[in-house]
Amino acid sequence: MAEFAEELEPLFDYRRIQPRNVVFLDDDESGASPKRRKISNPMVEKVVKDGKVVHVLDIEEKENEDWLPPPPKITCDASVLAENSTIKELRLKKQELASFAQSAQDVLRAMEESAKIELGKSLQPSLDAAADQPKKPLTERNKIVISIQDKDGLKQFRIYMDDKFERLFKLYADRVKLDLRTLVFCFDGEKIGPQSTPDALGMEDNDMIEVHVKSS
Amino acid sequence: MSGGIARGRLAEERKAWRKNHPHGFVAKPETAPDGSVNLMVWQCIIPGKPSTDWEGGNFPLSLHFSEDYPSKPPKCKFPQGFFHPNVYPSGTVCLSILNEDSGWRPAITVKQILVGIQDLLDQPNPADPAQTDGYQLFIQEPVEYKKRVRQQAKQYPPLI
Amino acid sequence: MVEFTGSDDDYLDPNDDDEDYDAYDANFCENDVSKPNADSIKMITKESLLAAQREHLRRVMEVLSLKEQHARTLLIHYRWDVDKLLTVLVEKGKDELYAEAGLSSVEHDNFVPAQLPSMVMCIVCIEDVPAAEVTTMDCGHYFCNSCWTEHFIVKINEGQSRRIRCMEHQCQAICDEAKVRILVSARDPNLAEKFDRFLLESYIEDNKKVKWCPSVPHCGNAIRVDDNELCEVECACGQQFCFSCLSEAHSPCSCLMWELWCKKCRDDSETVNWMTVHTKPCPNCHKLVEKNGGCNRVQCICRKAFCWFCGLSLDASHSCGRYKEEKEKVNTVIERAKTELLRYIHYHNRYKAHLDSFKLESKLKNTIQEKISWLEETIATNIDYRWVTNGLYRLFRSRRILSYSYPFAYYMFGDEGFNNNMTKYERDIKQNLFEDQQQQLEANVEKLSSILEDHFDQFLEDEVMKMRLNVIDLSAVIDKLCKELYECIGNDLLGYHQWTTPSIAPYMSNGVDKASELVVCKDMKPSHTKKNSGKDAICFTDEWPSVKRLKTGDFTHG
Repeated sequence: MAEFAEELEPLFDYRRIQPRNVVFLDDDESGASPKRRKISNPMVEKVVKDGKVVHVLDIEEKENEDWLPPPPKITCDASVLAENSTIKELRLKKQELASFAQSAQDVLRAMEESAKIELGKSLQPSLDAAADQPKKPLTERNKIVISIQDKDGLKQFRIYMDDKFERLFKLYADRVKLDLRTLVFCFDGEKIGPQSTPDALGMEDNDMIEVHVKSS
Repeated sequence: MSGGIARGRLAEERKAWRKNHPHGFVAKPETAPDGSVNLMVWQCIIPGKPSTDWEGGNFPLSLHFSEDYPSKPPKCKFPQGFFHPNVYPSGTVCLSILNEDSGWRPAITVKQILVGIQDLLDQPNPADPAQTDGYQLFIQEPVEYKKRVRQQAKQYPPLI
Repeated sequence: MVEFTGSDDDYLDPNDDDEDYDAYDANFCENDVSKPNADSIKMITKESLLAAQREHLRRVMEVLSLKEQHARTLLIHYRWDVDKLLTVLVEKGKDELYAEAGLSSVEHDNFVPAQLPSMVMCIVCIEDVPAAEVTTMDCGHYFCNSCWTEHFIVKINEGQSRRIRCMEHQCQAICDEAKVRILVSARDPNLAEKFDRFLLESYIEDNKKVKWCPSVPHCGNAIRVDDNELCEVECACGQQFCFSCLSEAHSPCSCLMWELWCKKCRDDSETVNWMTVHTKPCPNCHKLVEKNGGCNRVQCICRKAFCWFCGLSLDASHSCGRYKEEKEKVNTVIERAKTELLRYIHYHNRYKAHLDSFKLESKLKNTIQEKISWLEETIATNIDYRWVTNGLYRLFRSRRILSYSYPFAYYMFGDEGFNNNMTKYERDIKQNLFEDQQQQLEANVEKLSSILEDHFDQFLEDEVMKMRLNVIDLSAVIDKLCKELYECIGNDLLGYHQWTTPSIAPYMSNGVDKASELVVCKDMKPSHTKKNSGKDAICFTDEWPSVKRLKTGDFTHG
């Protein structure tokens, strides 16, 4: 995919930028839910917001950076302090990232100002995204990170919005050493055809698709 | 009183869900034919747990949220006539965490609800029967009960 | 025995409207028989509601060194039963006592949000909020003020003010009422007042020793009974009621029997009569069948065909047109239904007749009062006429007792399941004994009734003295008979089953106890949260905010 990286195809009004606050819900069976945490993935966020290729790990697996193991179980009344320290830690990290992202955004904004590129209004309405996302005309083909979930967890891949899924599927099959023909990929409960694109499915950055292995 | 926080919370729940959710589950807000999205009703799928009689079934469940969400729990409904001791004939699920007078707490997420219901499928609560059919078989005729459960799982095959 | 004098109906004034005769009973006390419950029955008004619970709150606050809101949470959970609360404390320890009531870590109660970072995420709305806009409950869970407020509003509007739990999954902690009050009043002061009122009314709603007066329209009062909760009381508004079931005073009939009886009277009085005339029970499924055509060979919905004349199955041997000597043998189903109905009618008629007499006799009060005043004005004698009124009140009370003894007998000696453990033989003996007592009482009540209707204002002095003796004697006899009837019912008949522990309210020779007003002193300082150091008297705050808006109709019953 890297070979396309430098081609400038400013086709998309990228409306669905990374949500500022990502929520991860760590549930456990007993339901004794610890606090859900909000963290950002520095790598991904930065790359996307910049619209530039920085630390590119195209279709590279990033070792589940943002899939934290569930925090230790805590009982409702006892664990205030323990919980707080964890949260404090995460919060500091988050603030750091936020400021980082902020500066990246400033750069981007400056770039946009100078470029003033006319963009067509080819808007792909978000499937169910909030309307409060700012519009961001981009000068480049959009890439998003997509997680593929299998039994072992999440594997993250970077893909162009208009890239056909078959490339991704093939790459995944190679990586996990399974026959592509035995794999079925689903997004929101529906099977993804190899000719489809993230764009056609209205996918957003960090969306997750599931892979199922056919039994027979 | 302002409009409450139901929609904001549901939008956040949906965002979180898209990024990660338990394998095999589906949870998405209802989309009208004109493409508009209704955040207050979600269409979900709960997979039967592996190595139980429920395995292989992909059970459709709808969540109906009220404007008082998350102070009040959503109403969770399987198709009418769903076979399970704790599901009312109307399909409404009877589960302590969904009962606003006992187990429901505003901090419970959609994901926790769905996982909780998946657990309930294979572990019915005989103290709280909601239908006679499922309850009586469960109590009196375990063999027939298992048969019915497996039969029902076949009625809801996976899409793929 | 006392001489029986003829009566005259002149004294019954037909123009006199039905009055609230309930109120007459307790006005007069003839002789001082012990009143075990009298001092333990208190009336609680809107104004004294706070004072009434102060005692309990203070006790718990002192024993456990708690803040008032925490003491209240405990008391609400333990239904205002301080003794039970203290028993749990002794048996299970403080931690368990608190945990059961949803009271968490009251020790380090000032969990300041300052311990949080400057921005925190509220996991209910999933928004980032400044720590200053976050409230942490005693359990340690924090959420943004806006989410808390929304949650409280929903709960208060649903009348669940008294047990608002934390929003965290599986957290059983009850939210601190002070924090709830602060947050809710910022958004909706009226609702905050409602919240306060609900909290105060917990003392009535969640307390088996305090109940709302059932008067309609509601007088706004509640009654507290400290000793025996199985009793009959009279509120200051004049309403007399059974404290146990809140319906009218009905002893010596038990609460359960009375409930069944009222239901039966409501349902049956018309339908049963109609049904016996127009329907017959199917000989197969025993459901009542109504005939909808001229043909006397009817078919039940169970498809059984039977003869309308005799109610028997239409098979080959059916021949009810023939005269038979022993008819009742074959007609058992119908006969049983008929006997049951006749039995009900028998008891109901007597129950009703005594109630009717009671209503008529209630009007005697005015005429007798007139006679007495006339006598006292015209004939300057030293005769004290209190014996007349005393006799009259005795009559009122015994009439009611007689009336209620019939529904009791209907259930006690019927097939309604109240005599499970008795053999037929035992039952017959007991029924005879009971009926003997009942008949004796009835005879004496009728005598008293007729004597009291005499024109004693036209009597000569020795005739008056004779009547006086009669009335006093009869009253004493009736009092004794009533007492014995209660004992017979309570000990011998209802006490017969161990499982019906409390049977009936005790016999009150002087009528239903009147609730006395709760003693309240007005000089104490106000406020919900302030620790009250008053010693003996229960104290009342003038500045109780939530009572100001109260209307009678606002008080809700459960």
